Amino acid sequence: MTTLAFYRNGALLQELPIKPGQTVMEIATRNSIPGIIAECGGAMACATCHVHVSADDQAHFEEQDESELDMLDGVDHYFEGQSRLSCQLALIGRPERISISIPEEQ
Amino acid sequence: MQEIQVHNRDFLERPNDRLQRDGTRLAVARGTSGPEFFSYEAVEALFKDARIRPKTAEVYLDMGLSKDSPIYEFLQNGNFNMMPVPDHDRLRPLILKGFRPKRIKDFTAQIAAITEGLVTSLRSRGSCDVIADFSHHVSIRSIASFIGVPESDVHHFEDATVELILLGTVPFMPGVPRLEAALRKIFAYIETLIADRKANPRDDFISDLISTAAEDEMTEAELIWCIVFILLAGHDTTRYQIASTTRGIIESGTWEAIAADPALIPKAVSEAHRMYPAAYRFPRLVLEEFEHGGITFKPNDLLSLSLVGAGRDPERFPNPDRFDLTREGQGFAIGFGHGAHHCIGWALATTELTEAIRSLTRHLTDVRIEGEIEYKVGGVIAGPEKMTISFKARN
Repeated sequence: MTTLAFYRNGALLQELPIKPGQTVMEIATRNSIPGIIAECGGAMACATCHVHVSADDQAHFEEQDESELDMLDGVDHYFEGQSRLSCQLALIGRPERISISIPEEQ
Repeated sequence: MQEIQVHNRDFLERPNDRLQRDGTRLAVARGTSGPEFFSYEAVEALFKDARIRPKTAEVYLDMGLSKDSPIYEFLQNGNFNMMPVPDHDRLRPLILKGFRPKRIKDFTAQIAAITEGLVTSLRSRGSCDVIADFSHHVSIRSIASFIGVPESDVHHFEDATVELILLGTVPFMPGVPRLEAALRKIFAYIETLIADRKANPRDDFISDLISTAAEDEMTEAELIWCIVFILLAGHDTTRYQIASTTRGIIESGTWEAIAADPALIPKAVSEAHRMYPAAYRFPRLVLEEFEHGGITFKPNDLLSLSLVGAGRDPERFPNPDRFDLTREGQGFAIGFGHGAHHCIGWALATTELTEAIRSLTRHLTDVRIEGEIEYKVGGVIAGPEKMTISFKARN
C-alpha cells in the first residue's frame, strides 16, 4: 500500500493510504484534508484542488494533460513543473510514499 | 411568503417579469419543493452548503413510489444525485475516470464529424426543426459513441432516454408508468451490451468500467444503472441546450459575427446557458437545521435552487436579459452545479455545444426562427421541444 503524506506550510498534516487508480483528491476530500476544496467534485471544472508535487513523485501518476495546464493557468501559488490538480493525480503502480504539498490558499 | 409557479414557459423565458417588481427583486418564494431561491449569491452559497443534499429515493417513496419499481432501483444504484452518499462517494470517482479531459479532447473530432454530417445533410433543405433534425441526434449519438454504444443500436433506446424529464415532473405519480417502461427498455439494452463487452472487450468506456467494476466492488446492478444514468443525463439536457444556444444566437443577431469568428462560440454557449439553462432548478433536501435568508430549515424540509433565476440576477449580470457576447467576468460558473454533485459530463456537453454551433454557423446563413417555439417543461428540466428555422446554405 502506498502512503500519501499531505503537507501544508512545511508541516505534515496527515498520512493516508492510496490504491492504484485512486486520485489524490478522492483521498483528500474523503478525509477532510484542509486546503483541498474541490468545488467541482473532481470533474476538472475548477482549480480548487491545486497541489504541488515533485517531479520524481509525479512519475507515479498519470501524465499532465494540456487541458489541466489550461485550468491551472493563472492560479495562485503556481509552480512550473510542480503544480497539479489533485483530481487528475490517479496513482499508477505501488510506490512506498508520496509527498503532496497543499498551497496556502486555493 | 409569496407563492410562485416556475414550471411554465413564461417564467423560464422571462423570469424577471415575475421576479422584478417596483425596483426590487424577489429573492425567495414558496415553490413546489419548499422555498425557492432566485439570487445568484444564494444559489451559489446553497450549492456549497453541506447541510443540504439532492433529494433521495426516499422522497419518491413518500410520493407513492414502490420499492419494487425500476425507478427506485435506478435512483438507488445509478442516479448520482439521489443515491446514498457512501455509494455516491464510491462510484463517482470510478465514472469520473471515464470522463477524463484527455478522453473528451480525443473524442472532439468524432463529435465534429457527427455535427458536420448532420448539418451537411440539412444545407439544401431550406428549413428544419433544430431539435428533431439536429440536436436530438447530436446529443444521443455523441454520448452513445463516447461510452461505446454502436450508432446502429441507438434506435433501441433513443425515445426512452428523453423520458428522464418525468423524474422531476410535478405531480410525479401520473408519469410513473412511462418512466418505468423507459427505464426497463434501456436497462435491458445495456444488460445485453455489457454481456457482449464482457465476452468481447474493446477499447471503450464500457469495457473500462466493466474492468474497474470487477476490481472495485461495483455490483452488476450498479454497473448497468450507472450506464443508464449516463445515457439519460447525457441526452435530454444537451439536446435542449443546443437548441437554446441556437435560439440565443439567432435572436441576438450574432449569427454572422460567430460564423466569422468561431472564437466567440464559448461565450455564446455560456450566455445561452445563463439565460436558458436546460436544468433550470435543483431541489434539495435538508439534512440538519440551519437558517438562510431569514428562513429556518429543519431536517427533511425541501428547498430549491433556481438556476434560471440566478442566471438573470442583475446584481451579478448587468442587463441580464441581454444575450451579450462582450459580457465580462467569470460567466455562469454554477451552470453545471457545484461541489460533490457537479455535472460529470460538463466537458463533453460543452464540446457538443461548441461543435454543434460551429457546424451550424459554418454551413448556414440568413437563419431565422419560423413560428412559435414549442416548449417541454418538466419539474427540473425544460427546453425547446420544437423550433423551426429557415436558412440558406452558406457558399
